[in-house]
Amino acid sequence: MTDKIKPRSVRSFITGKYFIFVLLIFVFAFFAILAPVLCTTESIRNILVNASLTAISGCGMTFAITLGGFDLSVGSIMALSTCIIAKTIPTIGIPAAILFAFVVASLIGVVNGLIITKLKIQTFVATLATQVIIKGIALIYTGGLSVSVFSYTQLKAFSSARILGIPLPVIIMLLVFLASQFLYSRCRFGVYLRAAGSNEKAARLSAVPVDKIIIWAFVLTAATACLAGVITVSQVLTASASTGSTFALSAITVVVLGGTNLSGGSGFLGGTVVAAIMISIIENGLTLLGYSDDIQRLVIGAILIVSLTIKMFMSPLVKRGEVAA
Amino acid sequence: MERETILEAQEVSKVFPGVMALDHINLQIRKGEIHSIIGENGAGKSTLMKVFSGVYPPDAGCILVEGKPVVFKGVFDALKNGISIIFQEFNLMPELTVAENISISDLPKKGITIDKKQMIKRATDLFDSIGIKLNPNMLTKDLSVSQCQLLEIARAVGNRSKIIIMDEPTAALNNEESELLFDIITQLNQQGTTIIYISHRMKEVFDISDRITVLRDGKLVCTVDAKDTDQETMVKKMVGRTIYMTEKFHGSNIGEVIYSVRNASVPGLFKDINFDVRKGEILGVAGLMGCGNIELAKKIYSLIPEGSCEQRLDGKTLSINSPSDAMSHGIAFVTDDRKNSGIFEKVSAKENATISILTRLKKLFLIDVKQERKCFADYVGEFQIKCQEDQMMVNLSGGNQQKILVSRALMTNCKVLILLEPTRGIDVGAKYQMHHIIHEFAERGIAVIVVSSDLPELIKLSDRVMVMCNGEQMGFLEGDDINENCIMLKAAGLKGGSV
Repeated sequence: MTDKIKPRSVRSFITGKYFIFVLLIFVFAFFAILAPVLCTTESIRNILVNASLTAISGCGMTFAITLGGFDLSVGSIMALSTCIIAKTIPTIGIPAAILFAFVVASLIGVVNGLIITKLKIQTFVATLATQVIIKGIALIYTGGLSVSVFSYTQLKAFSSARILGIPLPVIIMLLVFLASQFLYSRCRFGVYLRAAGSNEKAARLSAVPVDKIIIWAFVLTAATACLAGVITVSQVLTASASTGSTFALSAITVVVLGGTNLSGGSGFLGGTVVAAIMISIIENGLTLLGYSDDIQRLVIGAILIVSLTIKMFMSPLVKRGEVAA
Repeated sequence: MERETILEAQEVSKVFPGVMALDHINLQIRKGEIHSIIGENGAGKSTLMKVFSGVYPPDAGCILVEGKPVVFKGVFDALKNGISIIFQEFNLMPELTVAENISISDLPKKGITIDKKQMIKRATDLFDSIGIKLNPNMLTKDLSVSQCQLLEIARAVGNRSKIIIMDEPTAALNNEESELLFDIITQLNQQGTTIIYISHRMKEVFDISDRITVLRDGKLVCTVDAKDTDQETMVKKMVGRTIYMTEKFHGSNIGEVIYSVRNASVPGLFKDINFDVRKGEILGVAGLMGCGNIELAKKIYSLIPEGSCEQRLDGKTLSINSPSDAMSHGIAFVTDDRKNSGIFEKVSAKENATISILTRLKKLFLIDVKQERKCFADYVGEFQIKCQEDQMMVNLSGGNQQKILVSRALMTNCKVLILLEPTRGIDVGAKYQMHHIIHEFAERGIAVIVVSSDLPELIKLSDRVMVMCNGEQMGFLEGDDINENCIMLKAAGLKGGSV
């Protein structure tokens, strides 16, 4: 039964699904040699905390991309969430403020889903539009000013608390990953998601509730974006509508780098998280070596192209023959 | 013994813009029979099946299941009434496993998770019950076409369908796979399932059917017992004119060797293939599915980067690294996968035809539209293509699409024309015309290579046939040796027949 998988050698392990894991080791080794300070516990904690934002949102994004779509509005959702939390904390307190942000974010996800399923607008265009609208709402809501919540130090706990030495954002990242993985591989939602992503028409004919699944997927991307917003606002204790303008692209980058198929049908959450960590290592490593933000972007773009190219060229011969033929 | 009617169409009509797709159809399907529906493309077979299976509502008339009138609001309603349809384009989800595809409409639950064991058991039991071998854990995208076909059938059986409609199930299968399919159809039939079977292939229709219904231009021509009629009669009824099935072409204008292939090899696909084609000759390349003949043609046209292939045309050695190299040397190619690698669905018929010669139709930086039109009109006239020049390709019938693809290739003024499955999925009339077109252009001095799994077609067209088996060249057949027997012997790897 498993004979189809077994003969796959180390090479196919490396070039297949787990390519990103190998890349992670290489990148880490590379920077660890050039900047040994990268290996300290403190630095590793830092890397993981930095990775948590894109990883968390990336898990939601993996669902959207498995459906064969995108959610470009996650950056705006994250920004609006930070603004809502910062503005409402003085009146309703921290827990209620966060809960409220989640409710709003989930509703935005529902709206995204309805635009896509009922108005039949492609995900790319639909979320491109809602991205602008949500940002506009956030700007109006805050009057274009940043909102500070420096006096609410308990909020800081979300980013600085540690359990057994592990920062809370990292724990949240792990929990989000595990929950997403559970949904993806063990629940009906996951099978329906892959079914709708790989052949929507067939899925509909097979009584898969495609519209419901699309709406749920977009609620999940919105909710994970909101969670990233909670961590962000707790890190800086300030909220601004201009936060996260490139966040959607970062999330999509880690999903693609992680090995999720852009044409839909098969997602890889583990890859998403690992790719987020790898990007974080590159950013940290380059900073330690004294390179600026701009250089970091250049490098990340280049890595995206190089890794996808290596993957394509090293994939088994026969497979490529099939593609060509 | 008259059996009861299980499914009936009464005065069913369906109108599409400009076409009466179904014109007052009255048809009774009897319980437990295998009922074939035949007719040219556009005769209304698929439309009728879509009405039966709830895809389209009829514009007039009604459907009765076991004597009771039903209205299907969608495919589910039909499914609930025990009617399943297997479309030509599969409705499978490629990224799901075989077991998931089986159970997708009704996933077994264990709490909030899926009961994977139960799901796999369900698939295995189902496969055992109808005698097919599939690995439930495989990803559906890794299955072959015939395995997908079997999976679709298993799904229909799993849905407890009393009636299974199959739309051209053998279109993409080789003989061996078709046999397996017929075995399963027969077995299902013996277990009581009623089968409605649509096919272009007369032989198999006669092999398996109890009764046959002929449709033409949306009208029901007749329904007859298969044992009371013969293929020739049925074909006449389908097309309303006589077609000589046994016609054989002979090239009357065969010249010197113009094109040669030497030492063509691609690891894992085929090795050491050598052949020559003469001016004005049609060389058929035969073999069972997977023998490498399709891949050989693709290699010649540089669609497969691996391996090697020496080619000589007009005495000159060619260096070909891409399809455009091949085309510039005078080699033209028509794909076997019209939908995915042939037509541009949403582009006009004219542009689909002239895409390869736009550089020739250039006037400064613009396209010389006048000349383009003329060029297109020439082929439309000669090939009797039924289309408007700016009609979207996707709206044309398969036969017309195919003629446009062949025009595209011929417009390049090629010296060598490679055709893969030139008449796959097109109706009898268009097929007949296509054979004449191929013969006619060979007579005008083009060297033609035809790769086809349709043996009668190869026999009819070819001046010579090269047979392949398991990636190896088994030899050539000429003259009277070009017959089904000799080809099959060689294709099966036996050294029978002469060389």
